Amino acid sequence: MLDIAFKDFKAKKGRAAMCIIGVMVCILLIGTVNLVLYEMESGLKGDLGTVNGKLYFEKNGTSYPPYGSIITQNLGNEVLNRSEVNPDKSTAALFAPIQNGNETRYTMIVGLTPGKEQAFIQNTTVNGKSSLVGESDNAVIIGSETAKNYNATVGSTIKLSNNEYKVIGIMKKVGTGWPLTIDGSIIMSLSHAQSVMQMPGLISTVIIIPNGSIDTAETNLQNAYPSYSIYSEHDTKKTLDDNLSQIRIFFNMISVFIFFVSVIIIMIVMMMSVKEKTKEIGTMRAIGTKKRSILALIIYESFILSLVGGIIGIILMSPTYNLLGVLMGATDVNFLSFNIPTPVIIQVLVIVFIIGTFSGLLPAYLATRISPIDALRYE
Amino acid sequence: MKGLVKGEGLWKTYKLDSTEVHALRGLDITVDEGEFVSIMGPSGSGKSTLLHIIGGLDTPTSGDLYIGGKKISAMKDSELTRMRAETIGFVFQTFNLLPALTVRDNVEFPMRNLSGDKKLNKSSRIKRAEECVEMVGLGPRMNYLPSKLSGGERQRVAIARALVNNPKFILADEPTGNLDTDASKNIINLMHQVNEEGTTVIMVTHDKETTKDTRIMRIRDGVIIT
Repeated sequence: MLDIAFKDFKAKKGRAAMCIIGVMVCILLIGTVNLVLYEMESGLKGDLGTVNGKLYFEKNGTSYPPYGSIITQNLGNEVLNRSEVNPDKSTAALFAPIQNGNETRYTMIVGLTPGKEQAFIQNTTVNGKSSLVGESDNAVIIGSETAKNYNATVGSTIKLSNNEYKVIGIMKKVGTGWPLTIDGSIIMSLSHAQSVMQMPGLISTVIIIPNGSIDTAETNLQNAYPSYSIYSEHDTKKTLDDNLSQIRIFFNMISVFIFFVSVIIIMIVMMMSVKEKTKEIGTMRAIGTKKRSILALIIYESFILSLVGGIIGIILMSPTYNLLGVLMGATDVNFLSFNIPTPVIIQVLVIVFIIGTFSGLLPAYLATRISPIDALRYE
Repeated sequence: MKGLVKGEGLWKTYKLDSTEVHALRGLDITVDEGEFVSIMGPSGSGKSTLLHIIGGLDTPTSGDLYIGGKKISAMKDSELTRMRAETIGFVFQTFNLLPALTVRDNVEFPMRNLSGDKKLNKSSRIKRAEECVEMVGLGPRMNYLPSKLSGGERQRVAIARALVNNPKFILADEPTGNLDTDASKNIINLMHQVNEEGTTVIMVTHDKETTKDTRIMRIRDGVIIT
């Protein structure tokens, strides 16, 4: 019956095309929404990965990245001198997002004590130098996204808010989807960051690598400084999950709405198709076609419509997503590349399968209820 | 049980609002193997109802109907469907070909409905369909869609489709009703040829010209009068 369904589909090109366009638009919307959600999740999960094994000491009520927190450097030094803290690996840090000129994107300034850069960049591979020790005040190590945005190479000079910086190292991209905080960062000496941001004696956080157990260090520090936050990877995960869950609910609501629109579009088209084919279905039944074959024929037809619309929608997802990127300020978009992650494609194909099956069920059932005698009289 | 088709005391009653309409009133019918039977009668006499009941598309309100010795008036829908696929070939006044399928595919289609031992693989089905299309003289039109054929050619395709499963009999409902005189003659000749090759034919018709060399049954008010 699949071949018959396909021939029916080819014979009714106009109706099929209208239906396919409808499904394609719906799948495109569902796919793009899922793609944005996927990229956000992978981005935030990537950020989470960069805080593993560390504690962030910061002002109460702030989260990661901790640019909303301001504490004194003296307090930071006090924390760094505690027994739970490994003083060789931990550092005071200043986080500050900065906007260059009229551009919409932000670059995250991260001021660190020279020689303690590993506390932030961990195992990230750096092209060039990975330490600010012995370098000039304006020396910086930058993330991959910052390098792309400023067209920077190791040894080149970039200008940011009227200040010039010498790039001594460029980190490889950490995030697989959207750029992470580390990818969009510009690491400089803490003193220079304080000077640029006009925040002398102030820091955002202390990045703590504990001496012993991370849980013990967290408990001890929290007991010692009850009015400050000790952010661990668990807290960060919770914060990120909280943020994500709101977005997820919103995006899923949009997806569900579009899903039902798709189902209704195909269902209406298939109802019309069954109505148009009343006489054909009656003839089939008269010459001995089983009810379950009629059922299969209609479901196959709705499935073909859904699949063709779905595949075109998936193909168009990449340029649509790139277009969204351009509208949001991205400059390095290649419209010819297909950059949809496999999990999103699988997710959309499953949705296509469900749409095709669900929308064909009612029309298929109604088709099996057609009486051959009534159908043969039908004109 | 003598006779390929044997109906005894067939009644068919429809309810229209509160009124009962009797389309068949205790009708008896016997058609033997190899016969060519023409059923004639005025509109509303019960011809189509009888044809539908013999074809297993409808069931009598009372009475018994046997086809090839099997009582079909008590069969379930699925059994009737199987019986229609294996035992009966249908030819309709308006041809009723499937518009999206070519001549070959239309003729091949009923073989998909066979099950069990009678089921054929795709290449055997296509071979058999092509034989039937050749037999009705439409070999050169094998890949045409019905919309590209004349009325007479469409009815030839319908006859090939009716024959493809080697049915015990063909039920033809006004097969020349939509055709001009020449095409009608050709179709009737073809039906006779089919009958001479051993297939029983039961034909409902208004046109006396088409009933030559057939056993004529006249039906009026739901009973056979001659």
